Amino acid sequence: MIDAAESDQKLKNLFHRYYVEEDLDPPDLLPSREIGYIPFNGSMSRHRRIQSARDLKYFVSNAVPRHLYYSTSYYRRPDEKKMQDKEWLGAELIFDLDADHIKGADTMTYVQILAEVKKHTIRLIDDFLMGDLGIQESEMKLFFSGGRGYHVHVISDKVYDLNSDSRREITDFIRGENLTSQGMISSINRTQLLGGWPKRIDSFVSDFFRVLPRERTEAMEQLKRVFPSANTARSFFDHIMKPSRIGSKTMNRIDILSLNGIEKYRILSEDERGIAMLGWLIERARENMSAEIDDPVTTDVHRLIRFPGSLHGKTGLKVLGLKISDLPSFDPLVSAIPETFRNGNAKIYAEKEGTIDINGQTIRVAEGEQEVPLYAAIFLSASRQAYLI
Amino acid sequence: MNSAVEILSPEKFGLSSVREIVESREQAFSETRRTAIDCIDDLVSDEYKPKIVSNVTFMFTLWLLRYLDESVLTSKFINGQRDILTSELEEFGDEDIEDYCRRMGMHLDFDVDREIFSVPFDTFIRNNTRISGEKYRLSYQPVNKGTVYANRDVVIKIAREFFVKSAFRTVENISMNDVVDVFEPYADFISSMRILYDQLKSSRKVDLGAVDSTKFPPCIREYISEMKSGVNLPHLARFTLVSFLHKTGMTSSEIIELFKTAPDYNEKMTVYQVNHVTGEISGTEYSPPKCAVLKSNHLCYMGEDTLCNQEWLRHPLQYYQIKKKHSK
Repeated sequence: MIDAAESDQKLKNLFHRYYVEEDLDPPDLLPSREIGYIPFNGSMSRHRRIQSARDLKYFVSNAVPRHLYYSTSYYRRPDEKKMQDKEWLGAELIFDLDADHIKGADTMTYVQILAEVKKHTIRLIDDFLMGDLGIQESEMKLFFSGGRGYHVHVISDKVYDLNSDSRREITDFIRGENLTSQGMISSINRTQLLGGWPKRIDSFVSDFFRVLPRERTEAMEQLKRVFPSANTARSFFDHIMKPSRIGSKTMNRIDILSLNGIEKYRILSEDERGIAMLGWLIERARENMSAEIDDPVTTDVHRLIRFPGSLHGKTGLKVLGLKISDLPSFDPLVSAIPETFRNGNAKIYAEKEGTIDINGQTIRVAEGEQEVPLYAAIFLSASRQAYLI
Repeated sequence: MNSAVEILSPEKFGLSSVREIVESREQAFSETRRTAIDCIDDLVSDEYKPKIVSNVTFMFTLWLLRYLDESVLTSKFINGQRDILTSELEEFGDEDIEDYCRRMGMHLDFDVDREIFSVPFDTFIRNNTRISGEKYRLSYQPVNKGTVYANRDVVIKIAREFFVKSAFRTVENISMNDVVDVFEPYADFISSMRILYDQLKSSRKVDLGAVDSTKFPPCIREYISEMKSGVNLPHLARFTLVSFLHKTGMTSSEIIELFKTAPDYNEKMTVYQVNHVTGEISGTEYSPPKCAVLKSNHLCYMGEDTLCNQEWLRHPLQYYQIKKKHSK
């Protein structure tokens, strides 16, 4: 007879061992942070203040949290129950990237999800935070969340006092929200091509027309995706194959559209077909170039987020800080296994068979009792795919 | 070089500057006091028309507004000044805009060759959130390596929001203890402004307690005594008297009773006029005119009265409110 409570107690004992043997990686100004946790039995407990790394060690070894969090905000009195009494002093700017916001995640494996989320995390850091916003690597901390994604923390004087509305500007920007063909047409000028979305969209549109076949039947394959009616697609193609003036020269519209620069907006705003075309291209540019972040996490200036070095209660993996330059080759399913759990085996009971990829290998799980490496046993029981026995 | 109103830092304009203005007998300072008091008075009476003021007057008014502590009035003043600032900046050259913004603590650069401003992205998002319109969103901005490249239209919009935020922050940071201390000579003025404002806000009478004619200002006392002695009151004096008495809490019939002593008393006409002024016929409850109006119509009898001679006294009702308060 399988006892779920007993399995849970075993998992708690293993978490306890971890918290005794390994040290967490506390954020700066720990005493100004609110600490919250979800225990193995019971619900979220918040509004704690922990003064030092030593107190923290004592606390986690005793409380044994299933999930442990800290506030990204700094407070004068983090242990007050009411938000207004805590006295907000500022907050890190954080980004949460996980499977929930990835298109088609429900049909992907855990490994595929992690790879896809990593792609968005790289885009967020390289293109938006460092490229556009000029955030330095030294002003950022990157963590594997222990679950299905990554957290990026911007720790800089530039961001601490930003209110929720200003943070919303950043999330909308990273997701490419509010970009419309009419908006682009009415606001575009030469200056705009110096960076950000206007520059991205410009390149995307030019690239599209540069590779669009100049032969109608071939081009129609592409344009049918844009226009619901084949007639409209055909007439749009015929239209852009006709010449228009650009400066003192005359060129086919399609060639003007293929050039980088604002002339393309004049061509695309000539009629409804062009505007629809631009709208479609903006959507595709967003799909290909934005980073899927969970906006409420970024805009909430009172948010709790996973504590660096703590264990994720649904995987037994740790919230692991990593260097941004290591991200491309980072494999969380190897690196985030705590040292404490690397050696030894444990017995589990699985109700159905399956496989998991962990620590660089594929482990087959059969139905019934069996022995597997300890970290795999923890992962399987924490994610409720098996019981520790 | 063009000029536009600037928010002065606490180092440049603090408690000691305010004290100097309050206590000085110099012409320039009394001008500052008068302008600021007029401004508060207009704000309270909902007659405020933004006009260009000096930096010192602007700051002094912010201090008085801090003392008054009515956020709606503070907003009205700051927004009025913001609108003046906007039209001034629109007349500025690009480099003057750059200069102005920098003096205000908003760091941006103007690139003369490219005719374009560079605004740090965090300055941009701190100040664009209340500007509506797609083209002011960060998503539409050319942003690269932490810099938003902006034209003057965008920069003026950002600068005006920056001005509003800084002005509010300045008011919030003025210590209430400081204002209470430095504006001690204005305590009566501020409390009368508060009463008047409450009255306007609630558009009903504030309970001033039983009518006490010994607390009436010299003008009202003069009108009553003239009327009693059989002098025909000019129309404006009569209007002032009725609206004043009404605001102090006298009923229409009590007022009519008083007018029965007038030599040209005409019951029908008096009832009509009183009911008109008190709003019973017109639907509009009239307030007595300000001191300035009475003065220019030769209906002011302030003489040597100390309260009337306060430079901040603007209104007969203000006089009554203060006298009543002190008699409590």
